[in-house]
Amino acid sequence: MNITGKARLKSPWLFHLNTGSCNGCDIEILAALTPRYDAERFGCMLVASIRHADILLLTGPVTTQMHERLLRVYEQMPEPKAVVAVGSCAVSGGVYTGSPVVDGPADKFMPVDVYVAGCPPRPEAIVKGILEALRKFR
Amino acid sequence: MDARNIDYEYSRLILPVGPVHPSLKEPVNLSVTVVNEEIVDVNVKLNYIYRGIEYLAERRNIAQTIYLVERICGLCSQAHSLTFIQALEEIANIQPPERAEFIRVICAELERIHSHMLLLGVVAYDIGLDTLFMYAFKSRETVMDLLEKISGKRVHHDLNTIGGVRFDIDEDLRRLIIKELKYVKRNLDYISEVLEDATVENRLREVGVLPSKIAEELSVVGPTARGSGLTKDVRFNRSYSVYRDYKNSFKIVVLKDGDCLARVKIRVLEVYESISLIETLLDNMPDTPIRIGERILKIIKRIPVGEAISIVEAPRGQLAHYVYTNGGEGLKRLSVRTPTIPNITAVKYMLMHRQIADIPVVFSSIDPCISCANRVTVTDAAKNKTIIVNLENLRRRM
Amino acid sequence: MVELIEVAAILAAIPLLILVSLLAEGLDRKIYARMQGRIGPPILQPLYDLIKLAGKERIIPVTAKRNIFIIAPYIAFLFSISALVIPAVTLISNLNFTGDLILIAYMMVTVTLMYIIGGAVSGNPYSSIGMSRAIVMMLAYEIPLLACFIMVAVKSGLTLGLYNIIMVQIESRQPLAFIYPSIALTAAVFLLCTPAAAEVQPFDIPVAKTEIIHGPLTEYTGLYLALFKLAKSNQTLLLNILSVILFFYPVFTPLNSNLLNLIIVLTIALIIRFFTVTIPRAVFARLRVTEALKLYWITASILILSAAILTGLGV
Repeated sequence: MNITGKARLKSPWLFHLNTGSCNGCDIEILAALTPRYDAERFGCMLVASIRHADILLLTGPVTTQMHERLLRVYEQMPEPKAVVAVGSCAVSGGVYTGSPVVDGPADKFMPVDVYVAGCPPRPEAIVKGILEALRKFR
Repeated sequence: MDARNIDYEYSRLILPVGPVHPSLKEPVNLSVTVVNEEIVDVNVKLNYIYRGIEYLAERRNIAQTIYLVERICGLCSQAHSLTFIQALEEIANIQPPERAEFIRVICAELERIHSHMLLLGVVAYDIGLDTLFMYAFKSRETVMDLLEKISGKRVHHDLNTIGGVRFDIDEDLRRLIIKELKYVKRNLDYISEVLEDATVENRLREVGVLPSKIAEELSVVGPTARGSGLTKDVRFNRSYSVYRDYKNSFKIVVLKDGDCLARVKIRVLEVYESISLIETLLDNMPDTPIRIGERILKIIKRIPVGEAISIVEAPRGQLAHYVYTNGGEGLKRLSVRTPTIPNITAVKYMLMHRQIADIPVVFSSIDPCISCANRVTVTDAAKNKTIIVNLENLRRRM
Repeated sequence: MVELIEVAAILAAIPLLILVSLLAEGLDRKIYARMQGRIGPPILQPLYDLIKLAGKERIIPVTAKRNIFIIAPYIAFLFSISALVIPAVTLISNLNFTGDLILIAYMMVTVTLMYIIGGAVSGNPYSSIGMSRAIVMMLAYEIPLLACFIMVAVKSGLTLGLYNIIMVQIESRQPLAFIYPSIALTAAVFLLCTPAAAEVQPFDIPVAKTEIIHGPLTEYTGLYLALFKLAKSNQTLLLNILSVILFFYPVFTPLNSNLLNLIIVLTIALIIRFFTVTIPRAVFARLRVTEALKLYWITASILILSAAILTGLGV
């Protein structure tokens, strides 16, 4: 493992994109950053610009409206990048399966590296998912 | 067009705030027209996460729809399912046991506490005070723990069912809730002290003012209306469930200023009221079963054709469900009116002639829940847009 | 031969200083996290971030002016590190040349200017707003900062060399801020300007995350972003070291004790950083840009004017 690879494991910067989730997963992602779970001790930081991100946290089944925007956001991310699908909706469509305006789940049209199941997953599970995604950078 | 006019046009900048923007947790687009850092026009576009929940609800049976309705919004899940179940119980003419109603209301109030805590945190985050955000979330976790102890889940509780609730609050849990709420109260004292801080006040006072006259015209609801001096609270005006008997154990909080600070303070004061209400309810819980004995799959078979409107006070304001059953385990129509819909129209008025720096905090101060709101807009405001995109999809499915 | 050794010392100081400025930032982040009741990132976190960013893909947007977009971070980094080397080398090897205070001031302004230029050529509306805010902020704090330099130069016997200013303090056996009340006022202005120059919470207006994404740096990726971040942390450390050298020099350490000297100054600089960067960041909400301008121009100009009047009176 070279030095860049080691540094990548230590500083995953996250970008959070909501593609039609019910808010539950989004708030749990926020909760993962707060004192109880404190993802920052692993170097995780929620960045504001997709240009700075390493890991895309994806919540929600991909709606038709967000489909194109999701792809655009994904293409704007600099390499190396990983995608973590957070929540049952992002993993499989969840309760929204069968809706005519839901195009997802996301892995139909883009690579997804880690699936974090749960409706919504607990913050611990989200942190674990992020750390699992880092194995891609080794 | 003369030279001066053209000049004016050039100094205009249309700033797309969203759909992917760090201060907005959910996709919503505010097209803000800016002239020299001053906002002159705002257009709100909501339909980004329209998922067709009403469409899905009309194609599933009622037992499945309960879980679907709960997932309309991750923050008011108890409020949504409570509304839906109340409407169903009215159609089916089922009276849930008294203890079930107590547990429902206790959970709804706990949810109000954690939702208001979230708003405090998000507003603090938007004005750049990360420390308050962390503190608010720290005490919010306590409430989340209580909800997890009651129902086994942190966000979507899956607590309500037709004719009762699925989880009971036993004596140990009752004592634990009272103890932990004291801790929340102590933290809240500290948070309200921080809100008195000069730099915080500076960012919130007289920002996004909504006078009570305008608020009445736009028919805003919930804490946004109460912040503008309107006495609007479904728990009082049209009380339901346990609130009928316990009107006196909590007060309706109304502030007259109509600015962001008033809206934030309302939340703090309402958490105190919720805590005192929960304590009273816990002390007076009747000793009845928590649900009627029948299985839910049998109950939904005997729900007749009928319609009902049920209104409750969700953390963000008045939430209404219109339910029309088809007599065969399913629904003919479900219509949801969420509090964010009237509130979000007020954002335009609040933001006019303010600075760019105020956009996030004003937008957060109404506590928008976009995932609730998207269900409704598809038929009116967003029609011309969505219909073009989805025509193929709709044809294929229908 | 002596010159060669000195050049070697300067070259050796550069990576050391980069490391120190990163560690200072890591310490700042750690303490900040502890104040919020979190465990916080490891102290080496900024170093990890830097190495990771350097190894990432570099994207140049089509709307950006390519050449300037690439050059701006390099210039910012070079100027910030050379500005940081000057006081360090003065402390280590007693290098003395007249006018280095002016050079430092010029380099500090250039770093901010590169920041602004980088935002201007990014071709992103948020970068443009960040740029215009950065210009306003620069006007707000750079002018009081330069006034502070002038006051110190006047009071320490019309000299512009750091070495001479240190010598004045050592000869009178007292830090400059404790000798004259006028310099004490100037020190207050200097410390007031530090959080704005470091772009931390109450004054992080140009990079306000929830308002304008990441201001001028929105479009920067990979190494370019790393260089800008490094330039910023270098500049913060430089300001802290300067506030020690100009106002609170530890007079009990003899100037010829080389590295020990630098270490003592750095320790005091870190303490000053805690009070001027970490604490405001944790306890204040962000100001609006107009309010920040008002604060700096009114408060700082009153303080500086009274300092100047005191200087005129000879105290």
